[in-house]
Amino acid sequence: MKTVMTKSLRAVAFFSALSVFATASAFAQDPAKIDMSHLDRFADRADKVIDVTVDGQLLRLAASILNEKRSPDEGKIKELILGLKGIFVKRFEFEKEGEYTMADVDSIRSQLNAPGWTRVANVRSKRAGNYDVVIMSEGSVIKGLAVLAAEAKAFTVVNIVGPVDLAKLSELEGKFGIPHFGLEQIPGVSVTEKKKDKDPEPEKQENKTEKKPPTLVRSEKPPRG
Amino acid sequence: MSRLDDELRIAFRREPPPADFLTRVLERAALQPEPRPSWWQRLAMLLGTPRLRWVAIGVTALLLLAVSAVQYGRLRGAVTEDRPRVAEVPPHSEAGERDAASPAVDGSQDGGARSISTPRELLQRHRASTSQVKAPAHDDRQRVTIAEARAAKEKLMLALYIASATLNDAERAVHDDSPKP
Repeated sequence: MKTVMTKSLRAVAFFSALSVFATASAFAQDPAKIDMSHLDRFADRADKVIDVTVDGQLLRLAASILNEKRSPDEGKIKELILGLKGIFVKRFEFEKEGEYTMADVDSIRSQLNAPGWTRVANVRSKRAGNYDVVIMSEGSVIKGLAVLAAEAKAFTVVNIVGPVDLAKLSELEGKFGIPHFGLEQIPGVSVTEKKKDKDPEPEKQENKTEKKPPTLVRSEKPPRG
Repeated sequence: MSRLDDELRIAFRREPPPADFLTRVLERAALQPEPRPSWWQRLAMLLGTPRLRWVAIGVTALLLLAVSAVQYGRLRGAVTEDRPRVAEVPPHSEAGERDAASPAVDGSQDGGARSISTPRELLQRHRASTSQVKAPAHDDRQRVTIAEARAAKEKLMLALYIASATLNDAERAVHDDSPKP
């Protein structure tokens, strides 16, 4: 009788543990997703903030409208985002240098020192800026990507969760542009630009010129090759 | 024999019980309520064989059901999202559109002088009424879905643009810093 009881209890414990593990794994956050919430404190100091969050649901919705027959680029994008779980981008552009410290950058870097992450590129340059390209891989499959770009007047964090082809992602630059309409109109994208005090007549100027989408501040660098 | 011995013998002699003794004892015993088991006693009873086996099976089945329900919900959500939610134009028959545009078919416009008798006319009338009632709500939903999908696409483009540009910047920085021959 004691043996039967012990066996039954073991079975209950085993299946309970199995169920709890399965449920927990279903709800657990993906290890390739990095926490960027603490970067929001830069928003006050930044001249421009670009915050884009494309989660799995939005990716699927976007994929439903991408048509490879309409444009080969759309086909490439559809192929690239296949299996992705999310793309998270935060970019802060500052008016002057020194608005953020390396300690701020290290708060993100420390997450990328966790097991599973592998640094594939690490650039420390006074001229070009500091760049970190870190991937999370399992065998030959990349499970996640994080790119940190700490330039003099800008700080960018890109986090892609899911299997991503770096070569294909790299090829995409220049194949499509910033959306034609204002970024504020896209739900989920927050772009904040501070009005400058030195502007003499901001209202007049607003009336004269049409609102343009924000552009990325890219430091001038010699062309590659 | 002393007097004490006699008294003791009298005191310890066997006496038969009264005739209704057994009946009275049984009646009293039946009247006393059974002691109620406490909650831990009941729990212990559940953990005793063979009940334990059934409890184990029940708990495991419940847990598996709960996990399955959660996973099914997640999968169903994913499948629903994967369905092509965007359609450019809702499928309307030409006849339906024509009917919606020409309400004279039901005879109300010409003072009811014309009666509807053929099945074709009845069908046309039905199509006209359903297209008038259902189509706007359906179209609105589709328009919202298309707008959402377009917004999601633009957002994705922006995210990919920044990701690609940042990655290329890093690549350029690597090449810039590498020693040149």
